[in-house]
Amino acid sequence: MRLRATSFALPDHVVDSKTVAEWSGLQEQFIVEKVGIRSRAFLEKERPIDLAKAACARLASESGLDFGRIKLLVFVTQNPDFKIPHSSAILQAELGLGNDVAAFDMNLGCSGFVYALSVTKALMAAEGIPDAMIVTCDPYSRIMDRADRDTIALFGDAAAATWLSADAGAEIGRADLGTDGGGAEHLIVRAGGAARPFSALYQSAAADEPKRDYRLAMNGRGIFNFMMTRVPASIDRALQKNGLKLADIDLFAFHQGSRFLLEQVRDKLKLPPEKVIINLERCGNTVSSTIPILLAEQMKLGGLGGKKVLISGFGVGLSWATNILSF
Amino acid sequence: MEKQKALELISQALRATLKDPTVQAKPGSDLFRDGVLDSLDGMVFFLELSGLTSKQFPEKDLVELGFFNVDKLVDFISAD
Repeated sequence: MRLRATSFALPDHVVDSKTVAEWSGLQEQFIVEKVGIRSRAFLEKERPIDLAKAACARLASESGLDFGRIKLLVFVTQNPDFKIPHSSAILQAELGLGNDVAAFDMNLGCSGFVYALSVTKALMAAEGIPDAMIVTCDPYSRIMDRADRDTIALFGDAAAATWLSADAGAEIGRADLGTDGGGAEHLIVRAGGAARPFSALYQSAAADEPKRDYRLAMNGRGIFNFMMTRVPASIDRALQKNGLKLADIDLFAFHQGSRFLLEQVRDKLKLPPEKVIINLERCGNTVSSTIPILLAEQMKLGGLGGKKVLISGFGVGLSWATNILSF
Repeated sequence: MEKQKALELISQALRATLKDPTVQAKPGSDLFRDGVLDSLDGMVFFLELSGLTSKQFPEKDLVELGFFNVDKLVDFISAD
C-alpha cells in the first residue's frame, strides 16, 4: 500500500503573533523567533467538517482522485464535530461517498497521522481495499484559552486529506509505534469526557467545575523531556525495522511542535539543517495535520522523487509513531 | 555534594543550554527573572542539569517553585 497524494486546507481567519501576544502577555518576538510562528489560522463559524471537506476537495482537484474509488475513510481527530456520531460518518455523507465505505475515527493527536498510515495500510491489505483516504482535522482553537501562555502561541487549525492506493505512490515502511500513558497529564483537557462531563444530566454539581478544566492544559517541560528521550529512540527502531541507517534518510518530516523543539531534536540527532523541514511559520502546530502538510508542500515542489522521508509524530497520550516513506 | 561543585554544574548546564562557553551562574541571581533563560531555554537547562546531577526536578512550573533562583538550585542539588 502506498501514499499517493496529500493536500491540505487552512481556515480563512488568520491570527498573527502580535494579536496572540496581546491575548497572552507573551512577547511577539519570542513567539516569532523561538516558537517559530508568525501567524496561524483559526476556525470561526465554520465547522471542522467544512475544513476537512475543503482538504478533500483540494486533494481531488490536485491529484485527480475520484471519490468513488474510496472504500475506506479514516478520520484522525480528538476534537470531532460531535461527541456522537463519529466525524468520518458525517464526512462520508457530505462527500457523497457510497454506503459501502468503511469509515471510522481514530482518537489520536500529534502521532495520529503516522499511526493512521499503519492502520489504514493494514486494513487495506486485510480486506482487499485498493483506495483509502486519511483525513486529519483537530482544531485546537476550540479548546484553547486565549490567555493561556502555555498553549495559545503554539497551535493552529488545519485539515489534511491523504490518498492511499494499492498501485501508485510512496511505499509506506514498517512503523515504530509506542505509548507512555504515564505522561497523559502533560497534555490534557480534564473535563468533557464521560468521567467529568461538561453538563451532567443527573448531577447538577458538575456545573461548578473550574473553567480551566474545560480547556487544553499543557506541561511544556514534560512534553519536551518526553520528546528528547522517546523520539530519538523511536527513530532508531524505525530505521532498524526498515533496514536503514540515519544517513540513508534524505528528509526528516517531524511533527511541527515548535521551531525550538525541532531544532533541539535536530541538534540531538546531529542532523544537517537542510534535511529537517520546518514549515510552521504560517500555520503553527496543527496537531495531526503537520506531517501531511509538510508532505503536501514537498510533493508540490516536486522534490521527493526517489527520496526516503522519515516521518515522526509525537504528543498527546503520550504517544509516538515513526515510519519511513520511500518515494 | 559541595555547594561549589553544585554551582559549577549549574554553570555547565547553562553553557550547554546557551551554547556559550563563557557563561557562569552567579550566586543570588535568578536565571529567569534576570533574563538569562526564557521558558524554552529553561526546559533544556533542566534536562541538562538533571543529566549532570542525577537529580529529578519537579514536573510543576519551576518558575513558580523558584527553581530558577541559583541559591535555591544550589541547595537542591547539594542536598543528599
